[in-house]
Amino acid sequence: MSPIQYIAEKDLISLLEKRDRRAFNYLYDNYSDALYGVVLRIVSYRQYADEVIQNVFVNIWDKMPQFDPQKGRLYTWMINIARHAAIDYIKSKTVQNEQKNQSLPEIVNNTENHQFFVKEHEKKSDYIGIEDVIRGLKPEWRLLIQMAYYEGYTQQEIADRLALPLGTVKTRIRAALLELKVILNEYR
Amino acid sequence: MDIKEYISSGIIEAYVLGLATEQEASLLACVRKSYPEVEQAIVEAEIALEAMATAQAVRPAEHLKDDIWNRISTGSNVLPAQQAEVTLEQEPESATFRNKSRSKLTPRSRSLLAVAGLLLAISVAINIYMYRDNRVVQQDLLAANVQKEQAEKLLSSSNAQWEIINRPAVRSILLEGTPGHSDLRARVYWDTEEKSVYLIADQLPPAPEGKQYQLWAIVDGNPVDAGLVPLSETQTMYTMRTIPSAEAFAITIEKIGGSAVPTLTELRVIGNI
Repeated sequence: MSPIQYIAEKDLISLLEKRDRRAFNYLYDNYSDALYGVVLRIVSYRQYADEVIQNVFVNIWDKMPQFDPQKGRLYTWMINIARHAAIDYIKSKTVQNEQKNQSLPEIVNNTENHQFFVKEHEKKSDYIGIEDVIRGLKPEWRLLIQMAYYEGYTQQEIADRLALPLGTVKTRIRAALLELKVILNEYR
Repeated sequence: MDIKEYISSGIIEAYVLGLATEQEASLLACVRKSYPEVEQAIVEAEIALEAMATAQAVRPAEHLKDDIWNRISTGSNVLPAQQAEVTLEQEPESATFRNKSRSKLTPRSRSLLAVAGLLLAISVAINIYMYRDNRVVQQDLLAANVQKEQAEKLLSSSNAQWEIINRPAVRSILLEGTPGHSDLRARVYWDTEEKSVYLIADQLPPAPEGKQYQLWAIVDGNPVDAGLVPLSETQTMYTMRTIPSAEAFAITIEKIGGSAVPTLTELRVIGNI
């Protein structure tokens, strides 16, 4: 889809420090599609994603002075801001729903339910009509990426919920990302 | 540490996904500097996630770009949609309140009068109490004003620092603890145009009795005195000596008044540019 134009991060950061519309345009034109894709995969509906993506860019703008290139790349940093904003949004929506409907069954607690969620997610993806790269992964790896990347569980939480040793979770996530790299290379 | 084992432990992926604990992240921050293979593994993991986001991009609706810019440029952080939700939720409550108060408007006029009298008495009592309380309030106000002045002073010095940090020509250099002092940190801001050097050293413990911290610039491999860190902590950011060029900055502990050459055994923090 929209290829990211790479310019040196240093140049982009100094552009952003000027905080004018051109800097925003650059950021938005180059990253909004990718970040919107990240958000939409987490919140599932465009109506929600439209709300979240606004918060994402406001957050990026506000937090820009805290960005530390020594800790990571700018694009990764923005992806993580987008993920966290979307995950927080979904959590607050879930809380609202639970308040409205106390009889909602206890969910998201074991492997079966999680696999159910992965399937649901795929259905939604079909519904929204977006491509899902992680579908190329083995199911047990896909589940881990789903939980870590889209649902924001820590590795310890994943280990607890799936009753797996922490070490296994860590190495599987690593294996999944390595596999993902191969898939993405074919993708280009 | 077996570095291959460390890389394959999955810590890097956790870090890139934002799942690493604070301790794991700070260890990784140190290790990546000394081991290029760790640095490379981190960058590779980041690029994989970025490639995934790029491959799965979805175009947002056209109007969002202007909407977001409007929010950013006006500095408003509350979405109209959220405001609407709040007012909606409040509506039923006020409706029930109206119903209740209407149902209470049925007692006879005599009991109404009694209630009015009681309210008047309460009101008089509150007035007397508040009159006596007034003096206390004025003292509080005075104290609040003093606090406000202090806060404003702090704000204006923070703003001055902010201005320096945000100059386009200013580079930020993190000085990190040497082995045995790994929890120490300091930060140098170096204006590459004006050549001025600023230091934030609030994460260094007070210098030992009779000693003082001294900042050095490493120029062509040789240490150059960049100034002493004041002994009393009145500010958070110090203006140091002007340095035209440097490869690194470092801080040592020296005798009070400083030394001509650094005592390398007393090196505390260092950071490359």
